[in-house]
Amino acid sequence: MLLKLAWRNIFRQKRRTVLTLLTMTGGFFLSSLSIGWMNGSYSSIIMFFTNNRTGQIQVHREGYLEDPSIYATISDPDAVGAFLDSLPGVRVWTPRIYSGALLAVRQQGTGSGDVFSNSAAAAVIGIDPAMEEAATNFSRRIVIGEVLTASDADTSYTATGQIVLGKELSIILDASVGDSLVMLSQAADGSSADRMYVIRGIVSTGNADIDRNTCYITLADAQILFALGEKVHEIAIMTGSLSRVDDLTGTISAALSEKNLETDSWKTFAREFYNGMKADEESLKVTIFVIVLVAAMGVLNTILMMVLERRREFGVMKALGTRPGFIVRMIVLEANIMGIISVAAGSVLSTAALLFLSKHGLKMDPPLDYGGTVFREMIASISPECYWIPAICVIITAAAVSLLPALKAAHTKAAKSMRMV
Amino acid sequence: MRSVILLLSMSVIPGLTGSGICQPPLDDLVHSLDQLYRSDDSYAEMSMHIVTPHWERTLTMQAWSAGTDRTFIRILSPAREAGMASLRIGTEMWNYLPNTSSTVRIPSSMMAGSWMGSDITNNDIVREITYAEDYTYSYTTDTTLTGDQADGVVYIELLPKSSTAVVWSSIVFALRIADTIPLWEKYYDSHGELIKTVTYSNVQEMDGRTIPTQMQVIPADKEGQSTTIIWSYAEFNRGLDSSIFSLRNLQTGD
Repeated sequence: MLLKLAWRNIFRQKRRTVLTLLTMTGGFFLSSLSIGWMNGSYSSIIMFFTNNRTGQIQVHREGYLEDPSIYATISDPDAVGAFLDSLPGVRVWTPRIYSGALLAVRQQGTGSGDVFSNSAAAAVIGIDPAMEEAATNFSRRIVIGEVLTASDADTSYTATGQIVLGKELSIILDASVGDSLVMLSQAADGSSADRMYVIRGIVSTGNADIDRNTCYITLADAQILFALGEKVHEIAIMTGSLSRVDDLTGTISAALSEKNLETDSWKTFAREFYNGMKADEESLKVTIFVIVLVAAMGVLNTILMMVLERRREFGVMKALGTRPGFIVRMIVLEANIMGIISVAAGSVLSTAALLFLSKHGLKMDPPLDYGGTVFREMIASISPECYWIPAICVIITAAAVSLLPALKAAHTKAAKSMRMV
Repeated sequence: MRSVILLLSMSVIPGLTGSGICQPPLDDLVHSLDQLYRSDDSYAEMSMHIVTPHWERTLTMQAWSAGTDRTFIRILSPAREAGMASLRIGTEMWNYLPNTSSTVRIPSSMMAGSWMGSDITNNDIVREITYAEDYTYSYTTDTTLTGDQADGVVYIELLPKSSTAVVWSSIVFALRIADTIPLWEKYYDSHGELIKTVTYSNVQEMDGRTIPTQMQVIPADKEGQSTTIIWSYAEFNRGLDSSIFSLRNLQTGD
């Protein structure tokens, strides 16, 4: 009887009901979307950032992160790599060498004057072309020319090597693909070494600060040039999912600490990025709270209006002998029914919207810049939080805000309220 | 550190008068520091011994200098570096790299960097300043700067003038009064922390001049690290062909 009455009441005044439903559905939709947005965009930014360059986990010699020295090396990268391959959470790993050098460029076709006036200091990163490709998709960031390949320089000190320059560095050196480049560097045994390179490609990582002073040579080449033997400075690890990173870091750290190696997650070695991310996430949580609050206010407003509009009707019901408790239960039930309908409708809507946003993303204008890495697109992700948080908000608000006007309606004097409208 | 280049330039003006007085005229002493290794031109053969916690190596080299602004250094050994050469004209510096037969100008961003892996920077080699003109100076008795003070030694504190661009904020010299030969110099930063110590020893006569033929640079913040330069031969004011200090000479070798 109560349910029937409430159900019929809902459809008695269609325009009013549609209005209330719209407000509640809108509130659900907005809250759901912003939560999916936040989760999705942050994990995609983190994955994008880490997959692009750093990896989610890195292994170094103890103390390397605080004081990167050419001597702080991982002496048996292959053994570490074999161990990493045996772990199910590790998608792929890649070894790297970091050092510095003086670079000087002679443009193609300027003869053999042999005087290199265009010189600059730069960080030199030694990468394994195939492994780096699998890990960070290095070739995708080559803007001119090609990626590094194996060359004679990988085995012979006197052979001409291949080098890839950061885009801004190539501008500073006035260098283009095909030009000759001389590198003067100091090796780990103290000797100074100079070597000839041909510029094979120009790379743009999206971080101008890095591209301004970074060049890349092959790992084998770097090991000869810097007299490092088999050693490397860093092993970057790519994992399948962000949620498993902390556990995996613990596992690797436990196994490698006896080799005096240090294992860190992106939260440590990309601390600046992590902190920026966390601060931003906090501020977005406040925004989402405000959105949910606004949606709740909308629901409160429409239900309040609905009750006030029907005071005459409640007066008649009371005059006919309806008990106050019945009226309260009826109004709250009506609100709840509308709440459930809104949640159902809102779920369909937000699923569609989230699915779309997880595929296409939204263009950021202006682009977001985290620690120098620029993000032009934000992508949403669908998770249970996108549904249960807004659902609880809508239904609880509907029930809570309807209670007060319902009580008021139930306790009005029948004669007075009938006369009022 | 200018004394490094002066040492590399290797030229001496004969000892100044004033010995025997307890504290000789300060201006004369500072002038004698400036002139210790300076001459119209010089040629020297020397070795540089570099010690670090990770490696130790010795380079031998020849060095030519003319006036205060031109220096040419060629590495003779070890084999990997043999033939490398540095030419400095004024504040510009060029390195010749024999493996790649190329000449590279050192960019200003690397002038503070190490020369050949030693504790001597490129800046030390190109610096043209003089103590007498670019520093203010006074005798000091502050033992926190000089350590225990010895008899027959004077201590001079040099403060760079505001127009002098250096990374230290004071230099303290210890000089033997008898022959105005420096014993050591200490470089301090603005917090009074020691940056590096340069010691002079093995005073010998070379081509008619009495000079310390061994100089050791010890950076204060790098434990177990030092660079020692030892002169084995020097000649002064013999008249050098100015074509020595040219990019052409840098590339053709000697």
